[in-house]
Amino acid sequence: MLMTLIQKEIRHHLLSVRFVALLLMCLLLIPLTLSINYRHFRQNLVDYQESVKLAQIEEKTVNPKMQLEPEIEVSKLFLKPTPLSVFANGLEDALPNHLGMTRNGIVYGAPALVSDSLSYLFGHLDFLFLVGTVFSLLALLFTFDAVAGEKEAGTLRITLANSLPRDLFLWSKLIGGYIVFVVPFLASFLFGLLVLVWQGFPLGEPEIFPRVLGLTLASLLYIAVFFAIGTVISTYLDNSKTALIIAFTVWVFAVLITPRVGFIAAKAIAPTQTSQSVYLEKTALRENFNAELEERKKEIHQAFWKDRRQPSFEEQFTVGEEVDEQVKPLEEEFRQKFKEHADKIDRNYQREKKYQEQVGETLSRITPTSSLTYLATNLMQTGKRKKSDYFQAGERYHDALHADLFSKIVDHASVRTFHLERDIVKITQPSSLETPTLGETFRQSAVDVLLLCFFAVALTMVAFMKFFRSDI
Amino acid sequence: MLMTLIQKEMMHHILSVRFVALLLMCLLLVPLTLSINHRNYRQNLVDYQEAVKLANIEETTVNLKMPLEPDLEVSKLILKPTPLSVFANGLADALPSYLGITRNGITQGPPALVSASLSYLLGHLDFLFIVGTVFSLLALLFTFDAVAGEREAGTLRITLANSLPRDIFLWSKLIGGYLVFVIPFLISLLFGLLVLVWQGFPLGEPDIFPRVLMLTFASLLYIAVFFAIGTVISTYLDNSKTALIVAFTVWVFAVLITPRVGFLAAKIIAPTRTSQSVYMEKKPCETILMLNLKSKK
Repeated sequence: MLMTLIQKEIRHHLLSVRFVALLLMCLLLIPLTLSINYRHFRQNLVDYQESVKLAQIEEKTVNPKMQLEPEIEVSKLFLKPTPLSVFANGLEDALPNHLGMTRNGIVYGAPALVSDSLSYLFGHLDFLFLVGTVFSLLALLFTFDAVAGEKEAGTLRITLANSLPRDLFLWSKLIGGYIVFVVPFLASFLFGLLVLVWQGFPLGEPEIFPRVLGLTLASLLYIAVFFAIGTVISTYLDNSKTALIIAFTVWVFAVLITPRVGFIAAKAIAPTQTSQSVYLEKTALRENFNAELEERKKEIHQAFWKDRRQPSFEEQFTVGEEVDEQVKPLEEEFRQKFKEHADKIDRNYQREKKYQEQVGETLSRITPTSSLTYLATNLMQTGKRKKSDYFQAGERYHDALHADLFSKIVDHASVRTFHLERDIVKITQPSSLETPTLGETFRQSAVDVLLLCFFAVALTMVAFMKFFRSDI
Repeated sequence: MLMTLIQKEMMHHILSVRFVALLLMCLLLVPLTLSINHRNYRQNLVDYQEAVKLANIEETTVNLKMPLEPDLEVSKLILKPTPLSVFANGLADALPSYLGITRNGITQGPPALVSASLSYLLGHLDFLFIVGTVFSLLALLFTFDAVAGEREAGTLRITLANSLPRDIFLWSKLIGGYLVFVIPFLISLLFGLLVLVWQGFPLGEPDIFPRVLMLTFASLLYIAVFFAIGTVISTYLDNSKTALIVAFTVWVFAVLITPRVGFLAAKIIAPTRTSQSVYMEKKPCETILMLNLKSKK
């Protein structure tokens, strides 16, 4: 019985205009988007390779015995584009293209979108956008009249007058529509993947294939959620036109508005200090410490020269070194103190920022679109995890440079002497970014997977409950 | 005659569910978005003021006789946020927060969205987005059955059997629908502007008010375009459901796909060299010049 109903439903959809719309979108958009984005990725990869080559050519050596301007970038950690950005570009274009290592801290290079910012006005077109926005709308188009249409035409009453359980009727609607929807979707995605492989995309790599598979499953789950939303609306209303208008209103709020409101609301709920005020606070702290250090140094100088005669020109060099030797531990003590206080200010600021981001993330998860976005970008290594890994790698590299170089730089020296070969420090190049395993990614995105499952199951249940209780 | 038809059309729309959807979107989205974006702008302004203060504190003096590191930023040109970004954020978050002036050239500071990059994943919400995306979709919802619906119900045949010119019938459909659409839109925009003024937005300034007015006219014109698209589709089709599906397909391509494809396609049609390769090309020239200078010295 169920099979017959599913077949009837499939036939009904196949002969409708919406199937033509679906076919058009699938065949035109998916392969084209994947192909164009792969070209984009290759261009980004060339950019990255040339940047690294340039950095290696310009490899620096620094003499810690000499002064080093605090804002000078002694080395750079470049962001390597990931091939999976072809599917979901995520934060790839928004992250700094390099992290510059300076004595003052880490400075950010310009993100890719700064150079083509006009295209930023319109947003990025990728597979994730297609699934999240276009296919969710199409899913509603496939379901808005599932029950309301039959009710309106009077066929529901006739159908249910036979010995047909209501659950079977609704299952046939859901399964039939879903099959008609996902078959062209999967076929065009497969075609898109073939085009990618033909262009040289390393789909077969063990790091890539499971993630693409994961993205496909997540997309199917997301489409199922919108099928459930459409069916719920359809069961609640008697008129298919009204159902369609309600479905589109829900879609506008779920896909276009609510995900964007989350982070804006978070700014109002959990405000943070500005980065400039944090910097000003640290600058004031540094100035206070410097003034105190100068005062203490003056005292040392006074104590040093108290019982000594004015040195001759030849003696000045040796005496200067002697004074510097006495000042060194004091400088070290102040440097340590400043670092502790500055770290505390940074930690507080980072904590505030992190809290704000968490609030925004949680609020935006009210809709399935946000969950899909977080899940897909994490799977494709272009999401939050990539961002935190990148910045953490930058911090680790900065710490290493601090230990090897920055901490050894002498600012307050009366006399500067150095050995040309022994004292020169060669800047080590940063190690490449570690990528999280698939298991780690799933653990991190478990909330989003569960939320999508919850939406799908809960909404389907609501549809069934309403359909069972409704008076036909 | 036209007035009667327009009144009938308006009544038809006002009593429909789509009017409820429109009211909901207008009253909820327009004032809320303007208000939230004004808060955002004020925050950006504080950031800017603090950055300028910082630059003034750190004002550097340069000794021309001493060596100056070529990468050292001797000064910064900081990007001032514009109050009108409340309506259309545009490139405000994507532009470098400052341009650093060095001997080597101009360096770029990180854009605002680097610090708030997770929200970049989900996009920005402003008045421009609401008009461009949400209201264009609503405009199609208001027009998809203008002719197709009447034809389907059989009322078109009856109506045109009377001495009613076809142009007046279609004008009444367009004008009636448009009026019902733009009145709540304009009221909610006015309400949003009042909220903004109450929050301290300098709406009355001679540089701001005409631009807001122009933006309103541009929005009305844009909505009119989608009214025309919806009516075209409706006149070509006999079934309102088919008209709606075709209208949404057109909307998806016109609003979501084509604007994004433009720049991607441009990269393929007119590829450029990378900035790094340009830099590497310049590097040997610099080396040769330096060697020449040294040998001359």
